[in-house]
Amino acid sequence: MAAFSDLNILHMENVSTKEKLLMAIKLGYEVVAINNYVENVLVKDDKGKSKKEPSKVVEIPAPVKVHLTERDIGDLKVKGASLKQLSRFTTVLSDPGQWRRMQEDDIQAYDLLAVQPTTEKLFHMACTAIEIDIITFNIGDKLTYYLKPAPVSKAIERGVHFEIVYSEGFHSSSRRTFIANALRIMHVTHGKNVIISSGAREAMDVRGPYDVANLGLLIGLQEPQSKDAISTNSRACVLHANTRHSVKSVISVRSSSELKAEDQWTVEACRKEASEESGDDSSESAAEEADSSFDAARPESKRRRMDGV
Amino acid sequence: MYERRVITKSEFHYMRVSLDVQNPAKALPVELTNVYFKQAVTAALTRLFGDIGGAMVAVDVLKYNEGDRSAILRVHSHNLVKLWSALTLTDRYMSRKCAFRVHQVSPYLMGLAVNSREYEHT
Repeated sequence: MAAFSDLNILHMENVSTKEKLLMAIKLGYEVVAINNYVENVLVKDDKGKSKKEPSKVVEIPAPVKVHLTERDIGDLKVKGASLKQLSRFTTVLSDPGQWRRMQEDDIQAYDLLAVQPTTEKLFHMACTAIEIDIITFNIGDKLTYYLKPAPVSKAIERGVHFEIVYSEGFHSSSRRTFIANALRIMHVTHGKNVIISSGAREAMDVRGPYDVANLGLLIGLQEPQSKDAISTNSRACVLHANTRHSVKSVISVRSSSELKAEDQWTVEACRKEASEESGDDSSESAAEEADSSFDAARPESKRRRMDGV
Repeated sequence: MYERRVITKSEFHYMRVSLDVQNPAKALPVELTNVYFKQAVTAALTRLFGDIGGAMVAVDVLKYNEGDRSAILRVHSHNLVKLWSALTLTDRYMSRKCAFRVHQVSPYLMGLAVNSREYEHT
């Protein structure tokens, strides 16, 4: 079973994040993501300024990692587990141009990227086009757009997850909309690719994993789905994030005669490998191998990011 | 060949819960006696499900320990999810930050006798 995870521990200026992590450890979480929330990654020009002037660059805080001693994670050590800390960046998506800003290194340095789309168009974009891991909602306020099934199923196909933040359900002012919105999300996703996280502002806002799983039942998940929402789905989400950071490369097949001189050795290598693998009676297959060889992308091109594609 | 049988017909579920408050050293405005504890549970239910919905969930406090504010609750099995989620979504008691921690849930009272998750490893 995948470990319990809470992918939204809010990092705030004046509240100790460590305290929240200790609470999460105490309650049995093994994966936590510390969330840095930046309302807008672009600063809009003031009205007085001319539009040609480059807009100010918003300073993005560096990913946070809390130092925990052996003693702090003692509860988990007993179980033979340890705490995995991830960093997460969340922003409100209110302008398509923000995505360009998010592709820069300071934001890409985060493990998980989450956006909170404000319009239906941007929601569509977040579901279908841009490379993010989590789509989150301001779940305590009324959703201003309709969640259409088409982009949602595309998002599920791509491995993007939808987040429900349960700490919004604590206050009676936002509880109604919390439940209504959560039900809407459930209705449109059928419980697939949904993660439930705390969004904790204080340590007391974190609830135990089984409590959260039970809350999933209340908002219309099936029992196994509900458990997945705090374990397996979160794990899938983290792995999806990892793929964003891993090497992107292309495999192409071509005739060995077209190979460049410096890559000729690969033909020999493939031939040798093939004959070693299948013993004596495989001279035919070895010859076939020689016709086409894999032209693996070379290191430089591997390192180059292909985000534009 | 084999058949998996899950018996879910037990009438009641039993829960061991405790009320965690922020800064436990600072005293609450009132001593949290069993009556106040029951009141906190009922208030949680009413807050989430309203007057009627809350009243339909019958909860019994079988045992209450004032020292660590923990109790054993008994609830009809079909109301378990309601009660549990009402407890989860409670964050305040007498304007103090608090949280109900559910330690164990079992269809048998005997199941609450031991809890291997709370062993102290020294």
